[in-house]
Amino acid sequence: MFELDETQRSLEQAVRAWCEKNLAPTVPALEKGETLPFDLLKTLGRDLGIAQMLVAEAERRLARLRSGEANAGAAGEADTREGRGLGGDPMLSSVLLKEISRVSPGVALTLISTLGCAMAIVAQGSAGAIERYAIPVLSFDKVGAWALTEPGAGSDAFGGMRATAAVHEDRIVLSGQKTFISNAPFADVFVVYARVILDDGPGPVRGVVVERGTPGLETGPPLRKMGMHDAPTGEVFLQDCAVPRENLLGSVVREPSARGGAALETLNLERAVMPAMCLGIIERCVEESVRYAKVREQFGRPIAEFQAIAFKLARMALSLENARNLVFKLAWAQREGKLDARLASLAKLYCAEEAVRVALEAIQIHGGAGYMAELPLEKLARDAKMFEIGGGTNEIQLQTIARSLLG
Amino acid sequence: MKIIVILKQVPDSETKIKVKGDGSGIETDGIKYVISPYDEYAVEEALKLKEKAGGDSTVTVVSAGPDRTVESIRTALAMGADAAVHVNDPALEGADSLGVARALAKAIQDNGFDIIFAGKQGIDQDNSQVPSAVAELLDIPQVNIIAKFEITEDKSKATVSRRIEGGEETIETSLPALFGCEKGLNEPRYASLPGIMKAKKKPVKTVDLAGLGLDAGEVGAAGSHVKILKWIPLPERQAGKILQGMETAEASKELVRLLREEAKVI
Repeated sequence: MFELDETQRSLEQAVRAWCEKNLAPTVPALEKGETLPFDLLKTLGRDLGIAQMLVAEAERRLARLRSGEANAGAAGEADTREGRGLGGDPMLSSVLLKEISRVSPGVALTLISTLGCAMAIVAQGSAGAIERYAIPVLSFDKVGAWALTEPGAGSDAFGGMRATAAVHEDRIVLSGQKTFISNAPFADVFVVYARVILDDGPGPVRGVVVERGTPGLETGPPLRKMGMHDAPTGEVFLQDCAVPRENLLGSVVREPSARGGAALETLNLERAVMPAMCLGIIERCVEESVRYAKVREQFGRPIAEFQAIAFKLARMALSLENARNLVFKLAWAQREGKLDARLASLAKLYCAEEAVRVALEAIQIHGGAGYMAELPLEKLARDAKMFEIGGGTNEIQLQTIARSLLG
Repeated sequence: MKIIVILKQVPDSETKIKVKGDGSGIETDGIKYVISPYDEYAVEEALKLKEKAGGDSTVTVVSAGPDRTVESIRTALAMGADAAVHVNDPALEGADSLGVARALAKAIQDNGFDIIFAGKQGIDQDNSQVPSAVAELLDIPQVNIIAKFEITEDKSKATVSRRIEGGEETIETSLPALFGCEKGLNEPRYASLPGIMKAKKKPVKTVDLAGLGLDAGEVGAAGSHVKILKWIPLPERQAGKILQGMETAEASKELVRLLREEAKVI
């Protein structure tokens, strides 16, 4: 259970080979914004058969929904058997994301953002929404974005949410503003989270599917940021943006617990995949550092022979081992249906903190060379910082863990 | 069409090879093994042919090697090959190219074949002998180092080209035949995730020399015509000499003198 099985190992090999050949040479252009990651993702989806699998899974869900359409309300309930990712094994998604993140965490972020949008639609959308919006995103023909954060609603994403979805008989009218949304500047399909407004007042927060081109939807240009330069991030503006009623994900019924509901589930899933991305950063940084420390000579010997460096490497190996174990545990928990907010937060917090620390240590071991953009380390460090913020800050993870302890 | 691919598992080209202290072989610990890159072109060409030929065409991978070879066989199956024959016999450790070729040829014959693809050479020992020997043993034509492959509509002939100095040589051959594949022939596909998942269920037949009706004393190490006496690591590179503090003319003279008298290369 603490080792990849043959299937997972084969995928690891295939993705690594793919990334070395296709992704690594493109990273400099991606970093400079000279090219966008979406065509590359399409190639990835095609070459590794991932698009084909994702579409097939969505089509199975679609067929079930259609055959059971007589059973009213079926569309609103998430299928518990699904959401385990590729091939029904969450570890396969982890391996995929880890491998991409070894080269570019930003491209991995773009991937989970586009797929996160589609998966939210597949899990809770109507048959029509799955067919029209989710499948073209899963086949990588269209780009998806998942929009929760607002200028005034970051950590307090649900409590502070101001975006509204007014429910009418045949349509939903959205208003509000979203920010820091991955893929937003170029996305074709958006799942926008907003508070449902009913006749008798505010209802639950729900996702609503909006297509680019819908009057009232606008996006801003890519925002400049510290890292993740290869993952375009931007704002979404909604003003009296009307979409068909069937674009609503889930029901408008208020739940007993007022918190995020389905959006929170997607957020947990997001937290559950980010550790794998952090693991990619840690693994790469450890490998590069060990290799370098053995060949780089100062004062007449390899720097690995200095305890100051050797002990750094030992601590980095410790982080790697722990992060890897957490990723294995997350996959196990997902398979067993035991993934809860506590574990997702705990793993994300640890892996994000260690990714930042290990990446900075890797730079330190490489010295001046590590600080240069010629090596991948400074990018990995900049990208790593995002994981301490996106998908819930470290502080929010701590609060979630504490709440699980204290009730 | 029964399409055969001969595949060899070799150490990854990025692996640092260390010779054992006693010179009896190489250290195998920590070596990452992969499909010999030229064999990947063979797999890809076989898959392309299968797609083109359609019908009940199959691609069967035939490989000789120890247990670990299965992993490379599975990769080829994940790329899309249908079945595999794994010749696994300890007696083959230390067999020469002819011995290995005999084992492979027999396995191929037992399986049946219409066409055979192989890499032009394995990238470990670079003997480039096995494909040719297999073709001879099966008494079929062979063209090695092909960079283009085409087959006639009725699948009775193939036209291939080889890069030669200053040009290209086009050869037409009857089938069945064996082709040794060169870089540039195609762009090998990746093992896709659906392919990887399907590969687990594809048949891999394991046979030993006795199962092939071959005599280990003849085909295996014991019958080898070639014996590796000793493995010697490459001598460590000597530090270079830099001529400093001299005028160019003087330094040139000194350089020529050193090349002549010390290095003895001119």
